[in-house]
Amino acid sequence: MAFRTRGIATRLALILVLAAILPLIAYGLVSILSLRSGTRVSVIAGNQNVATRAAEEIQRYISSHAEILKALAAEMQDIGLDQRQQEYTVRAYVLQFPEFREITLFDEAGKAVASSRIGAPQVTIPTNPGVTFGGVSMAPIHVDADLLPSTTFVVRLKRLNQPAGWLVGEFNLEEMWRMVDNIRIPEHGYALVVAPDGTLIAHGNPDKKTLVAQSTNMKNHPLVAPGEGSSAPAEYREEDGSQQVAVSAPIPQLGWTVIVEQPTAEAYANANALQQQLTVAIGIALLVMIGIGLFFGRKFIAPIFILHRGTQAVAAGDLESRVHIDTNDEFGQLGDAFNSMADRLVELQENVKRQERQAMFGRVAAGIVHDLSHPIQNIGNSTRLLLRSDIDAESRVSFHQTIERELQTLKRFMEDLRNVVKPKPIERFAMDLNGTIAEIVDPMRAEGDRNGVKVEAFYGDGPLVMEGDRFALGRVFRNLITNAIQATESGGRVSIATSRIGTHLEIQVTDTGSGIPADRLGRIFDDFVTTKRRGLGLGLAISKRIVEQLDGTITVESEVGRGTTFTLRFPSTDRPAQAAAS
Amino acid sequence: MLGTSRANRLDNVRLQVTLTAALLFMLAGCSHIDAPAVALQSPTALTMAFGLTTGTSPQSGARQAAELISGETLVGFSRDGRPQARLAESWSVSADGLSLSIRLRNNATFHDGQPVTAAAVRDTLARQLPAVLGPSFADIGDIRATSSSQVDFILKHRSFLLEGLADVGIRAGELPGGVPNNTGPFRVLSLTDQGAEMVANEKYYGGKPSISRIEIKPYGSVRAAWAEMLRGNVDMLYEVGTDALASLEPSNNIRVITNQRNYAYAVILNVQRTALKSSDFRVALNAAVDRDALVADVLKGHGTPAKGTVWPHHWAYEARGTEFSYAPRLTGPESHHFTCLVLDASHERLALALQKQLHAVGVEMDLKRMSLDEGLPLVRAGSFDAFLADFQLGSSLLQPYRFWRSGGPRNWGHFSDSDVDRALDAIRDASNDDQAYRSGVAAFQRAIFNNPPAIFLAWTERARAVSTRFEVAIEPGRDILGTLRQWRPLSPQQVASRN
Repeated sequence: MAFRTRGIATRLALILVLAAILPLIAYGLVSILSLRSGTRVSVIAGNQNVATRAAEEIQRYISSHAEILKALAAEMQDIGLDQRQQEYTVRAYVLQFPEFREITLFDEAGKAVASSRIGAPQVTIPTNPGVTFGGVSMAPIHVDADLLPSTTFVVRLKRLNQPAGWLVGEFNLEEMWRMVDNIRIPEHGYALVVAPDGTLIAHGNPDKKTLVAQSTNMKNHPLVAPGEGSSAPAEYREEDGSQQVAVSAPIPQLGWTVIVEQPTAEAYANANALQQQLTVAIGIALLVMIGIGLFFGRKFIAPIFILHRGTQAVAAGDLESRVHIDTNDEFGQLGDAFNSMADRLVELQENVKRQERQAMFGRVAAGIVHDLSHPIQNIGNSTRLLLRSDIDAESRVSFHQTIERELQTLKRFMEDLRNVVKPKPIERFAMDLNGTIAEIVDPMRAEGDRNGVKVEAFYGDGPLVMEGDRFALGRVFRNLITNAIQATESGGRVSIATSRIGTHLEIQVTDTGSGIPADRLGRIFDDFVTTKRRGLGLGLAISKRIVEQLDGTITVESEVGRGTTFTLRFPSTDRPAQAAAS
Repeated sequence: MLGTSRANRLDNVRLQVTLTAALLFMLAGCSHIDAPAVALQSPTALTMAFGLTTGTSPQSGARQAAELISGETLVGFSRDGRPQARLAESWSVSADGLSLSIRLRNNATFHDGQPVTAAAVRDTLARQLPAVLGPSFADIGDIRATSSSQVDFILKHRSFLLEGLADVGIRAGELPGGVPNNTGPFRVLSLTDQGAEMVANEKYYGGKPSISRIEIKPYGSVRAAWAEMLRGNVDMLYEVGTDALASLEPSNNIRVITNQRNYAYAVILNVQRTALKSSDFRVALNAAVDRDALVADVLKGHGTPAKGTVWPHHWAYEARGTEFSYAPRLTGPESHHFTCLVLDASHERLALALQKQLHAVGVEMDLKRMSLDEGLPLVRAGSFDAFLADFQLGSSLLQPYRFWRSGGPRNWGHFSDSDVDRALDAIRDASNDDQAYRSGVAAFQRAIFNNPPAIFLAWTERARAVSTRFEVAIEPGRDILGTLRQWRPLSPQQVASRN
């Protein structure tokens, strides 16, 4: 949906957005990005510090236990201990240091001499000594009988600089787990310890010890894969969908890697909370600014709305409408100007009405005078001539006919006026159009002949039957033919044609007269409008009213200098035409 | 372990809407959605890992666990040693204490569908009670099924009969496949070296269990079973070793439930051996033991010092003057030497610690590791100096009676003390008289204090681990295995919401 900015208030709000809010949002975005970036750096630095310290702790933990075994070895090298004492000693160490699951002393031949085990020892002398520090070897991490990672410490014993056996201690890595379990950052961040071959030795997350028990190889871990030394911090998604940020620290002496991973949800919790607060604050500021903008915008443009409503009222004809703008600014002046303009319009309208009434009265009076003077003059002349004794009988008849004709004219004139004031009700009968036209046209040919105009009639194939009032329609046709004869110069022609167009009957009255100017064509059916120099201009208005009362239409086409055609259409009917006598 | 066990368990208007939507979008961008927890498999089946004692056959181990789950006794004992109804609806003891009437639940059935009748119960008791009661069985004159739901016991003398009933599982022979025809909420389907399979007993009188199937898988050791629990391959760990507790307790997926057991670590001494004949020496041995240190260092706090043979929560327990305390004293210039059999690898450190403490007072206790299957014949034959195990010494006084009464069925150390026998008989005879019972217990404790037949070390604590996909019914003082019927499997959503 296109966003349209038609309202000034909307435009003002948008201007406000562009001018103030966009910078605010930009500021917010920059702040959020800076906050996130800074938080990440801080989190990574903190976690890196934890990882490094954890690596040192684990290093110390392993070294100290290697030292313990070394100290025990020193005791074992004491030739003054018998087998029983040796056994008590190794057992005392195992009890004191539960990190050793078993300590067994082997002689040079590889035979167990003393063991902390009750029964047969379970440790053997490792074939791969692994890493060595301080004289103690630590075998590579291996999976024990319970499929858990394990390792052994070995000290080579010497007596009088001669090899004198081995002291082997099975190191309980589960005890080391407790130390790793205690590394929490702060609640859901944990430490992992990974052997050089990728074997997971310990996992601080109590729910992920499964990975240790499953002998999971961490070679594909982003911080293990690079292999050597510490690697760059990484962010990755775990199988459970949680996003983690992780750092690592090596334990060079052991070849182990300590990884500290923390869910980003927790690591960036403060930043996320601040981001959320900032977003809400910007959002609230945004809404407040838009609200203020709309409030003041609406208040600012209220005078425009008042002027708009006033203008619409005046345009609708309510010239009494006035506006009330109680401001001392340009809008107030505009309101005063509007009211002055409306006052002036009322005066002008009154003047126009007065002039129209005067013009109409003049035209009507002139028309009445014109229309009545000629027949009255003819009646007067004929009456005077009838009173003379020297006129013959034939002339007397002629004068008598003239008086009768002019009296008919006066009668029609009076009827027209009466029709304007009180239209005659229309009656509908099924009538034959051609018959009705013929009744009108035939008597009028004589009038045409008197004016040198040929009156012709062309009748369509009949029967052309319609529902109509023969007398009313006769008046319409007579009026149109009379107008056509009067508008046509001598030598011209007036034709009347009927036809059927689909379900309608059409009558065309065409003259070759002077035509009607285009600027008058649209008003010729109005009352008191005429193109003739005599007459009240009621004929066409009455004709149009009659046609429309019979559900018909009347249109006119005219070209100045070529003539005019009036076209009338009426719905046809299937009913048979009633007798003309009716 | 030795002895029959029964354990306890969310124009301008358009502009505003658009901007509000934009704001909401921005706010939505600030939220986080936590990933759901990963669901586990098989909704109503429970897989239990059972760590075997070295030398115990897998079938034997699985049978022990299966028996606990599928079997039932007529009565049980509360933490304070008072009897509680199980398969028996009620019971009554006559005023003279010479007859006992047991009324059975009338809707209980065996796993083969047959009703638990008085006759069937009578037959079971007649078969098994001699081994449980030992010489006290002779006190029973007759066992009668007086109706379909009532069993009457006619006694010649007052007896520990009611206590003994807590140790006899009611069974009607065996079902096809050699599995026991028990009455409990779960029915054994198979019992092999690969473990045991059980299904819910749909006709159980207490209602059908929510868990449909239980599979018990034996593992070579408690540690191996724990490792399997860590791998997420099992739903429950029958027993969590003290070393493993710290690694499981913080887990969100596993719940560790501990329960103090009526079992005690003790070294039973063969008093017929010259080195162990002297009661003073045996008192000195008990005084040489720093039980608090053993509990703290070896058991890592998961236990209670055992200062005598009587269950310390028993209602008649008398503490005054009857409890061994740590008062090490040298046993004299002469050499004191004996050999102690250790029948369970998980007891190794306890044995070593005890050896060290005794060594400190001049006692040389040699340790000999032996499997349970190798050691038991020696024990039964009396061919031993001493042996270390956890023994069921509570909750009732029948247990000490069986261990320390002359001729008692578990008196493997051939211990005999007239004061002890007298006191135990007094307890037995006091059946309805609390005062006499209490006096008898006090006398018994004093007698044992003066002439200890064993070195009492610590009352044990049983830790069991259960996946959080089960809602475990926990009753104070009761082993959760006893409430298995009421456990409810949870949907992954419910598990996630709990976590």
